[in-house]
This record gives sequence, C-alpha cells and structure tokens, in this order.
Amino acid sequence: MYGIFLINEAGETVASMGWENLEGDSALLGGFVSALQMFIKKISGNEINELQFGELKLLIGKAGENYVVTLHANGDKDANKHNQEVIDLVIEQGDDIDDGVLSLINEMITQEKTPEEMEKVRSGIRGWTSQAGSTAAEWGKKVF
Amino acid sequence: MEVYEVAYLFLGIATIVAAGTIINYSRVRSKASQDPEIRKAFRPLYLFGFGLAIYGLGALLTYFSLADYITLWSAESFITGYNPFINYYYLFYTLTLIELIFLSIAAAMILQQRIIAVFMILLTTISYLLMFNAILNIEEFRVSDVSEFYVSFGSVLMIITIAAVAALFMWIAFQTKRSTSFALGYALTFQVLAVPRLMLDRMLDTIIPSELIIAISMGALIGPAMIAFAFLRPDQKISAELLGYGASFAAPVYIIIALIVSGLIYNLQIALTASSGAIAAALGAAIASYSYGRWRENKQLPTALLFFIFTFFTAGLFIGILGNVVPDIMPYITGTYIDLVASSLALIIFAVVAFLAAGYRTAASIPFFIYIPTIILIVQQYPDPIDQAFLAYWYLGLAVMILFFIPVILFSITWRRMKVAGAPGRSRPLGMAIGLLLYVLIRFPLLLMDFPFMDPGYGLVVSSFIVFWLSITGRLERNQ
Repeated sequence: MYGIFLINEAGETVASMGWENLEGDSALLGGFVSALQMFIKKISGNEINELQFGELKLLIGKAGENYVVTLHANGDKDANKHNQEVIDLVIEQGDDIDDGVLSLINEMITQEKTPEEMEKVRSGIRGWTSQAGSTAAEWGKKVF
Repeated sequence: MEVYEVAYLFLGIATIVAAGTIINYSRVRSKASQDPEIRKAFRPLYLFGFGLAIYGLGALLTYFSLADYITLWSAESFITGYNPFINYYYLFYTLTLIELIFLSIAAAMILQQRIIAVFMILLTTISYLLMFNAILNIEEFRVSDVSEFYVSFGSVLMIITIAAVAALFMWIAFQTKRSTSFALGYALTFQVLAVPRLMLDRMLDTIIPSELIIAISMGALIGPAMIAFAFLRPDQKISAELLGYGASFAAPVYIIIALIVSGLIYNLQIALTASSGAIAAALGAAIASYSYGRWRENKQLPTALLFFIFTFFTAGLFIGILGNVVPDIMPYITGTYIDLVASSLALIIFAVVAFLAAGYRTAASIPFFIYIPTIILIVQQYPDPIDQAFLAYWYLGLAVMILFFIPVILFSITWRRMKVAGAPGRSRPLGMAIGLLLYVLIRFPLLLMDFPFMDPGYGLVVSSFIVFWLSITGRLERNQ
C-alpha cells in the first residue's frame, strides 16, 4: 500500500499519507474524487470503487460520510483486504484523524501485526502440530 | 565393579534381544500385508529396531570397557590417566548418538516432517563435536573444566533428543492404547534417566545417591523386557501386567548381578541358593502380573488379593536376598525385617482369602486382629536379630503361625470335596495347599532362626513357587 487519503463529502482532503508517490497537489485529489463520485452517481445511481492507471490503482471506499482512498500497486493481491482494514480503522478512530494517524494505520496494516494476523500465525503452529500428531497416531494404528 | 556397572552387561544383551523382537515383528507383519502403504509404514520401526540394537551394543561394550577388556586409549594418554569417565563411557556416548540418528530419521518418517530429522541430527552432531573437543582439550591440558562442561552439555543435548522421541512414542501409545508403543516409550524414558553424565562426574564418583542409580538401572532393565513381552504378544492393551513381566526379568537379573559384584558367585552353596531364589522371585513377579491381568478381566476379589499376595511374597524374597548378598545397598537386618513383614502379611491375606472362600465373612477379620499387634511388637525390636525379636513374643508369633496353616487346611478340604464331586479345576485348590505348605515350612523356620547368612530357604522356596505357578495358571489341569 503506497498511500491513504481521507476525503470528506465537500471534496476536501482531510488527511493524507504517501502523496509523495504521485505528482501534483494532494488537495486536488479530494475535489476530483468527490466530483467523479457525484457524476457517476448521477448517470448510473452507483458509486465508483476502483480506478486503474498504469502500474497503480486507487481503491475508493466509504467510512461513514467520508471517502477512504488507498493507493496500491496494480498486482497487489491484498489490496481489497487492506482497503477494508483501513476503512474499519478509520471508522474506529472517528473524527480526529490527521496525517500521523494515517501513517500509523498504514504501519499497522502493512507490518501485519494486527491481532488477527498473530492469531493466524498461532493457529498455523497449532495446525502443524495437530497435523503431525494425527499423522503419528495414524502410523501407530497401522503398525502396532 | 559397581552393581550398576555390571548391569550394563545384562542391559546390553536384553536390549539387543528386544531390538531383535521389534525387527522380527516388523518383518512378519509387513510380509503379512499386501498393501504397499502398510509395508512402507513399517520402515520407521525397522530403523527403531536397528537404533535400539546399536544402543544395546553400546551398553554391552561399556560393560567390557568398565571391566577393562576393551582399551580405547593408549596408556600414556591423559584420558586414561585423568579422566575415567571419558575413558570408560566414550563408546556408550558415541553409540547412543548413532542410535539417535536412526531414531531421528524414524521420528521424521512417522511425523512426515523432514525438518525434524535435520534438526535432531544437528543436535546429535553438536553433541559429538563437544565430546571430540573435550578429548582434544584433555589431551592438551590434562584436566580441563571446559571439557567437563562440553561433555555435560553434549549429554544435555542427547537427553533432549531421546526425550523427544520418547514423548512421540508415549503420544502414540496414548492415542492407540497399544502396549507395544508404550513399551518403546517406557524404554526410551529410562534411556533418558540412564544417561551416565546424570550420575557420574569425571572421576566416576556418583553425583546422585547410589540407591537412586540402582533404581534407575533396574528401571532401565525392565524396559527391554517389556519391549520383548509386548512385541511377542502385540494384541495386549496397556496394562501394569506388562510392567510386572518386565520386573520379573529385572528382579532375578539384579540378584545375579549382586552375586557377581559381591564375589559370592564363586561360593557354590550361596550362588545356588541365590539363583534358585532369583528364579522364585521371577515366578512370583510373573504370578502377580498374571493375577493382575486376570483381575482386569474378571474383577473378582480373590484374584485381586492373589495379586497383592504374590507382590508381597516377591518383594519379601527379593529384598531378603539383597539384604544377604549386597549389605551396602540393603543392610542385612533391615532386609530380614522387611522380608518378615512382607511374607507374613502375604500369608495373612491368604488366611483371609481362605476364610472368605469358606463363607465365614465375619470371621475373616480375625487373622488381622491377631496379626497386626504381633507384627508391630516384633518390628519394634528392630534392629535386634530376628530370632530374639520373635522369641520375645513367641506366644503371639505362634498364634500367627497357626493362622498360616488355616488356608492350607481349608484349601485341602475344598480339594477333597471337589474330588468327591468330580468337579473340574480341582487342581487349583490342591496346588495352592501344597504350595502354601511348602512355603511356610521352608521359609519361616529358617527365617526366624536367623540362619547365619543366606539361609537355604531362599533357594528351596522355588519349589513352592513352581507349584503355585503351575496351579494358578491352570497348567496342572492338562495332566488330568
């Protein structure tokens, strides 16, 4: 994940992180995204949730009234999952979000140190031992 | 030589035999199956058998090394002069490591995790390198604390690896409830305890109480016997019966070892008495295990009591003989007192069984009322010689002696009645009556007389145990 941007309904970029990966002004992104969503909503009744350009893609999701935009590599398999995790954390955080909070969120997600990830590692070890254990028991039943 | 040092000879032979039964079992079982999957499953067991045989070889060579039949180091070597531990136990250490390589591969095949074998073989290699460095150090510096640390740490790594394999087989035993796997786990657990460095320092001084070393080496002797019994009769479930059969091997072997160590093996009369006594102890332990096994099936009270009776008989006989042969392990007078209490308690339980069998439920407690105060009074005379203790309370002792004969009479009456009625299975009460009569007449007069050193009763009593064995296992029945 290269960047996270939080945009309110008025089209202002409330907080951003990772803009240095793109060129131009981060404030423009907010206006662009909200204008685009308004236009798409008018012509189709739906909202846009993904934009691809070259090697990059933007995922657009909603956290309450705000838009959460995340920037990913085109081939990033975890993109949708990470986007959803960012949305969950933003909702959890409520109104006081600034650039620093977004950086922290980015760290939490990309370093895979969330409790869910830890649980996955632990159950992996448990799975390995119980698999080895049942293999041994099966062997015992065959041989003894 | 020490008792536990001679035990290596028997441990080695028994372990090689046990390894043979495992390999034979694998051969027969895998031949019986057409399924290639099942045939493949026996490979780890083959490896285990080979590993165990190498361990047995290590124990055997250690005995020869301790007896100075094998010399590994030159006479000028500092190892020979200043480090008897490495001098005598190097082969044991190295061959145990080779065994561990086999066991590691077997464990990895069982768990289907190659990484385990890599890790365990790495530990084994480090263990060997530590020993190798220790030897180089000692050859250089003569005495080196660092080398002692190397050897100790190598032994710790060895312990970790054996314990891991032992845990694996205990886990399989827990899952499959098979005696075979339990026997393997038990034997490996005692291999952990029997790692020499846990007991001996550089100068072969013991670092734990020598009684504990003897207990461990007896436990280790039970291991291969259990493996052999389990693999010869693989259909049995996990049960203390197996442990009892193992003990019926270890007990007589220990008596023989005690004879060798004390040099009494060259005294023909004592050697004969003690070896007959050893056979009697083996039979006693076997009858106890057999009764326990039958009790697990039929849950009858008299069968359970038979188990206790023969456990006490065997314990009394075994401890009594040890008290005579190796007084530094078991002081003579203590051995005799324990023998008296255990044997008389067994006979009193016999009297109770006889009362119960004859239908006198209330009267069945009478033997205990007479026996308990008597034995307490006699035991209070400890450590006076046993004949004095008995003479001080001869009137009570005589009453107890009379009680001993009650089961003989009651069993004979039962036999007479069954014979008149032509009932089958009448050899059992007859065998009990004869066996008991022989036991009381042979053991007690000589025990109470305080016969100087190893009374012949310890040996002659084997006749009584043979009769018991034949009648309880129903072997007298076939002749009719």
